[in-house]
Amino acid sequence: MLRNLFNRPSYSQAGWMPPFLVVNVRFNSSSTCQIQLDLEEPSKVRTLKERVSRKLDIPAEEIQIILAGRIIEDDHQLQDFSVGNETILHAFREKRKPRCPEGVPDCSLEPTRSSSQNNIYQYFVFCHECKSMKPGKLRVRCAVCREGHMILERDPQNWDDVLLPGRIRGECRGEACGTDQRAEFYFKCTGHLSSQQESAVVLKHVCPNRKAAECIACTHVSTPVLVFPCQRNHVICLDCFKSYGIVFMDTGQFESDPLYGYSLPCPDKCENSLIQESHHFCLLGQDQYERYKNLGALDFVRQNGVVCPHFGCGEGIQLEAATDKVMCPSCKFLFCRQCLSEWHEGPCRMRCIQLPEVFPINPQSKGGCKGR
Amino acid sequence: MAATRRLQKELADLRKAESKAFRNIQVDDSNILLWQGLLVPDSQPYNKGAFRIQIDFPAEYPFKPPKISFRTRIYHPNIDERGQVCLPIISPENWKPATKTDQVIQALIALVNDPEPEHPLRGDLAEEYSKDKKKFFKNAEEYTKKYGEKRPSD
Repeated sequence: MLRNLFNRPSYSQAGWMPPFLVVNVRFNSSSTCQIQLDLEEPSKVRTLKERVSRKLDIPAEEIQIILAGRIIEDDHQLQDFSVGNETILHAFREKRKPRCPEGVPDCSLEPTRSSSQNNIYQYFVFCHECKSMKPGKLRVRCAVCREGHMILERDPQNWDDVLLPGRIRGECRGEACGTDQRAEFYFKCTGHLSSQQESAVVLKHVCPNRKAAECIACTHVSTPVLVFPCQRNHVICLDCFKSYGIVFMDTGQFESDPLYGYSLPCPDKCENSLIQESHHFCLLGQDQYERYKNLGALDFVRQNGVVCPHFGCGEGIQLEAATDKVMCPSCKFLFCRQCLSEWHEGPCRMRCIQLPEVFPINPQSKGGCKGR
Repeated sequence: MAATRRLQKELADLRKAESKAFRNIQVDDSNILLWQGLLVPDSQPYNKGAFRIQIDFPAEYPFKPPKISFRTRIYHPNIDERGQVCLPIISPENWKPATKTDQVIQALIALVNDPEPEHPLRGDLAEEYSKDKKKFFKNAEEYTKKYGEKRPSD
């Protein structure tokens, strides 16, 4: 059975899509049944319930299906919820009318009503397994039993609800848990089948370009895009973000922020526009991301200490006392924190070098070219 | 590549706009990063000729600003003998990637028409401009007639 599962071609990785969809419906973590649905016609939740009903001999109206923290209704289409091959849907048996939540906010789990496959995703993740950005799926589980049969007491309203633990509670349908449990959100990569170790990090600034906004750099309209958190929500396409990040790394224009670390503001230098999560710099490419991490670490050391100036050493030294006399714990070089030369008593001998005017052409020139 | 995509669009937009003050935009097919064009000012004393300018876009455009230089000699406090011009909108400190070449050219035309002697590249001309505008205008006009390009007839 296991071998069968693994030998099955990975549909989502290949371009070819099978004409059917295999989903796993799991009852109270005890029994799982596999349902094959025809993809030729849209698969309604009702159809799925009928199949499960036939297979397990349970009346269809007593089957409730949970996906991403919510009971999904009979009329919903499975494809709208980014249900793909091997998706696990949690189910429980209960005779009741599913509640219908109202006032669903923008970032909710409500499916988008779009026929195009590319448009149904609203989240993007950086997947360490695929080593690239992929559309992601937001999923919910109980923080205690870590199973997905959880019904949220309310929908998440913003990123904090999703990313900070314990903000939303819900009813866990597991046997051991209870009605008031902490919900835990996580993201799955759509690029491969579910794996034990989920290694997808959500990129919260990346989203589909529903408003067809122009890229601030190349002015072309593409999707998905990166939206900066500035008030004007400047949009940059992912190609340009890559160039932008590399150019600004080359020219040392990243900023150090106490909250967000080593980061990049929007190209228009708006206030409060720093990228708030460092995995976004994975979009620059693997080599550049490594470089980013090194530069970020170096920057952190510089903010909080000093780098050993001794030739060939370069040890980062955290400074606790406010003294200029520093000894490198690695190479034992004794140096002055101010001028970074060998330790000396008294004032530093080295002086700042006076930089020349930008255009020192005419001695009579009073101003010179400056960004006035 | 961001630069190519962006510049193709900017070039098309500029050509479509058919500005009288900046025209004859020439771009070599093999290098979209280098533009030449004719600046046709309409204020005295520069309205007696036209000036060929060159815009160099870096490969990192628009994350780094373009550079503008005059290929035609001009008697102007803010443009030096080598044709370098000091334009705040394209200085590295002020540059914003969203700034379009069209805006840069507007700023350049404004500077040519209305010199800023407080921020000169040529102190001697700035002094003349501030102290004896009549003399400056006479010199600049002669210079324009002597070195300037022919103005387009329309």
